[in-house]
Amino acid sequence: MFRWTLINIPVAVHQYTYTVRQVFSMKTLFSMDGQTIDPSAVLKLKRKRIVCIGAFGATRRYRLIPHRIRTTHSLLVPVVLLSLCLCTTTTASFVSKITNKRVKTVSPLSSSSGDKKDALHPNTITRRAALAAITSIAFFPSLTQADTTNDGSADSLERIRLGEGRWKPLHRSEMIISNVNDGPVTLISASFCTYAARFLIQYDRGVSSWWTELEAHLKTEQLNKEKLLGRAFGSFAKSLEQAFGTQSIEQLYDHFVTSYGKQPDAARQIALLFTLLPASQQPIFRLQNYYDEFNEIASISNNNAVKELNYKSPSSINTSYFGDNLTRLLPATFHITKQQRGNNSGFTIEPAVTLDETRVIGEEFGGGSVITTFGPLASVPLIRETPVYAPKTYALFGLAGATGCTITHALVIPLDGTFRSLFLAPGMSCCTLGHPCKTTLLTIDNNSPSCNSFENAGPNRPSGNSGSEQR
Amino acid sequence: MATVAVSNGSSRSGPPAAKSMLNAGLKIVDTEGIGALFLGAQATIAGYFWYGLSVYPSYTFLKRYLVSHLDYSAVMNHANEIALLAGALAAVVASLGLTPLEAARIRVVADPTVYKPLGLTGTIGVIANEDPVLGWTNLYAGLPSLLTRQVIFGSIKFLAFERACEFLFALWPSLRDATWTSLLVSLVAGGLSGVISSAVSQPADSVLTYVAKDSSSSRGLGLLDGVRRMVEQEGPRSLFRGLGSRCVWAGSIIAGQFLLYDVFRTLFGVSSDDLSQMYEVALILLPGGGEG
Repeated sequence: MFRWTLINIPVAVHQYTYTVRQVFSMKTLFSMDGQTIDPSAVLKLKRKRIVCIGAFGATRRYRLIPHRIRTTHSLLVPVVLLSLCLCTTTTASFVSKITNKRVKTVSPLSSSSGDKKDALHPNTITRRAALAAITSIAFFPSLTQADTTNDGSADSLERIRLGEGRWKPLHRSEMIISNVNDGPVTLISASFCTYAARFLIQYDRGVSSWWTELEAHLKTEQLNKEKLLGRAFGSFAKSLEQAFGTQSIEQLYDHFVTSYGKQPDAARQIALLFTLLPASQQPIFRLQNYYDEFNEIASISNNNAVKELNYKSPSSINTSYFGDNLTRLLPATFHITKQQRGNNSGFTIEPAVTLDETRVIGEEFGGGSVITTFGPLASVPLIRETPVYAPKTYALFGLAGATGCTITHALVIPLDGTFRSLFLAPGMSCCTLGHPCKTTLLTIDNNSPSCNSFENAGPNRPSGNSGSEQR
Repeated sequence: MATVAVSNGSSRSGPPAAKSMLNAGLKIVDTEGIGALFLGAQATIAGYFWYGLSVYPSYTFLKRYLVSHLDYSAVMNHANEIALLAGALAAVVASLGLTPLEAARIRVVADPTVYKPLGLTGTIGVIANEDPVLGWTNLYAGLPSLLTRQVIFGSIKFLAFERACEFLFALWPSLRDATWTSLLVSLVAGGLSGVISSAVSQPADSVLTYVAKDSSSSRGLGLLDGVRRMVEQEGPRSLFRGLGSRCVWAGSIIAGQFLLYDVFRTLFGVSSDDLSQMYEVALILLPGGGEG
């Protein structure tokens, strides 16, 4: 009934190193690359947590999370209940049947709640993080629904040119284990992801229309607008991070260039984007090609124009430049230069940009997010409610509700019966249908036994006429 | 035909100690057989099966329908009203099936010797054929009263539950971490919702009972008249008489309902995070990609 899935916690994300305690205290920092692990790579296994060697020889820690595979046994409960409702007849023996059957219907519940104890959740991201993200995205229900119902066109985020954008059911997204065989899973820096999100908002038609729609919808939200936009941005950046992680950096560079390279200024922005990576990860040859081309053009055309620009635009960037606007890119004065450090040659951005990456444990962006110079990187990808529920979903809602209500009220039937016999004349009930603890309206036909004749129906009844005397 | 209102005893006397309840229960079993405790069980089970079957899907559907057909600012500004409206409409749907079953239940409880051997369908058949003029609509004689109570109680129930959940999760976000803690939140929020719904619906409920009781003598006593006369005769506090015990009862039942609803939703794979979608981008390697 259970299988195990690995949830990894990237420990060394570039300049950040965490102690084991810190990592384990970050409950919502699981990334979802879900790669399979060679048992020989496992160094330690302790209390459902393993330490092993991952990509680039980095030590990575994983947590084991059990999965519950859904079975159809749970459907038996309503079936039993349904038969209970339809098949029994009101005879003297009916009551004893009820008591027997009630025990039967309750037992699957108790066993299932036992199962749930160790079945955390099938999602590879924690429930809390996911729900935090859902609540943030749930603010835009009309946005997601309008897209699917009105013109039938795909969601604007699905039109992303960089790759194939799609909305997957959350509980099936654990199957993201796709590109395991294609090579090592790359760890991408947070700044890269957030700057890539900005780049896509500027250069990708689908993403940019998603962003403008979002901003338009949030116009009425004065107070939370920035917070909600920040959450959406951070989650989108996280979705990108997961996509980037499946490719080598060189492939990623080619993806960007083929998708957006022809747009004005895009080549420079792509080069800047990939320069944000640490020197060891940069696609050196491709950046070198771009660098040479750029210098050629720069030397041919008079450098004056660039120099003039230098005076006008800011020569250094502080966080406030990006902080108030999540769509801003590095201005035209910024370009890449070669940097030689020992044997490692790499590229840096001129003028220098300070890259802040601060890990935030708070709930602001879904918990355990990273705040970078270019904006937040959430701990969970972009999540939305399913826009249209299938009829089957509603049917299951109904079954769940029917089972729940039937069990709850079947349990209080004897209690109600005791109350009735203790305090009330027959015909009164503490538990009327659909309305607990309520006065009951008796509709009595003149031909049917009158109210007074009920009074003598059984022992233990207070004499006197119904409710009014007890007041 | 006379409509007689029978009032609930527990709202007058406080809830008895558990021990005396148990003794009383055992005594009833001794004297009348175990059947006395389960009078009307068939109708109750059938009624709540229908109630759960209808009210949850219709609430979810109606709420989503309203949200998708209103413009964004309306949704943002009137979230509570939308939830109330959806809850009220869902209560109407539920009441339509509940009323005949409730009528049958009352018959069985009121006169077990006649109606118990007939069974649920038999009792319904008797009620439907009793009145040659009304016919089967006789089953719906209690609809206005039941509908009013259901609409008030049901709409507040859902709204209060949702707000209580939000509040608890905002207070302790870590409760979302495990399934059992979030189910615990459902339980507590359900209890709160039951208490709030009883408190809010209590005045209307008292007035309805009062009006119904009174209508045997003077037909057509309006709700507002009922309020006025009730306050005049019995004081404004009479509107909230018996609130305490009703809160306890409703709180525990609604808590159970929401807890089990969420338990089964999780079991059936339609819990709220099962119904969420995650955005992902699949990068497909383009042939001959890369222009330098």
